[in-house]
Amino acid sequence: MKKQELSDSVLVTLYKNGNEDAFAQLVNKHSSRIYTTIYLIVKDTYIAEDLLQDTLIKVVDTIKSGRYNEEGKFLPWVLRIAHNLAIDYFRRAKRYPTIIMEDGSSVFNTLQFSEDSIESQRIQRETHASLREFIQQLPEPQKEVLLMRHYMQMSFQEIAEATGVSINTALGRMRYALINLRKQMTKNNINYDPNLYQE
Amino acid sequence: MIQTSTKNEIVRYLYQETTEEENASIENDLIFNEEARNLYIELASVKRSLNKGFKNPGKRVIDNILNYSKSLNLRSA
Repeated sequence: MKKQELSDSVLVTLYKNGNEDAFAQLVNKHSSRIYTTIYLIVKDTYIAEDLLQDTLIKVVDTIKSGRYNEEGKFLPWVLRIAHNLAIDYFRRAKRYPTIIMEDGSSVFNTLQFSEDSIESQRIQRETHASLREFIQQLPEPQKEVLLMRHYMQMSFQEIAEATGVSINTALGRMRYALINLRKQMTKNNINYDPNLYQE
Repeated sequence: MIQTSTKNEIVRYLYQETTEEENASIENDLIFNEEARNLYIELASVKRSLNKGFKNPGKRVIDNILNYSKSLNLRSA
């Protein structure tokens, strides 16, 4: 029989009272979603790990200092922190290349491209990784809505308000994002067989 | 051909943002309208794939944060 999981609210309360195992459960339960959200923005494994760590340090500091008051919305709160850190990093990285090449291009961009190539070669061997690559290839408005709804679990109304469009536009973008992903998966023979995926 | 509003309702239904009343209407569409049903099946299959495609962080990162949290207990003890 599947063990009944404790809700996030209960785990946070236990953690506030000093139960480190409760925090470990929260981390194990949500770290993949938080990490994937960050990764889809920064597109680099190691940077995403650093930002995940920064996110969770903020979470620890806020809860342990008694400043946490999200009342049952733990995961959306954490994902907002993660999203903000990732966007800040992405903007800074684009604005301030550390080394400029002789032809004026940024070595950061070059490195990023190189890392992506090596990353791309590795992830092409993995079905899950291929799907993440298809997500990166979506038109930006579709990718944004997909990230916010599927990974950050924002409602379509919240997404519409955050992106300054009507809810119908947000819904349409999501629909096209899913349809375009399906086309890519079909084109690249990505199998839908659930037996291929581990629980 | 199904209307755009119906297609958008299917997306809301897929992500469980519809009311019980809306669910009854949408599920009726899914039963009797093949185009709506095919759209739902297509979108649901991609959503399932997305759910399986989360990337896992390295163990080092998780251990670091758990140790950091524990270290704060030691400091305040």
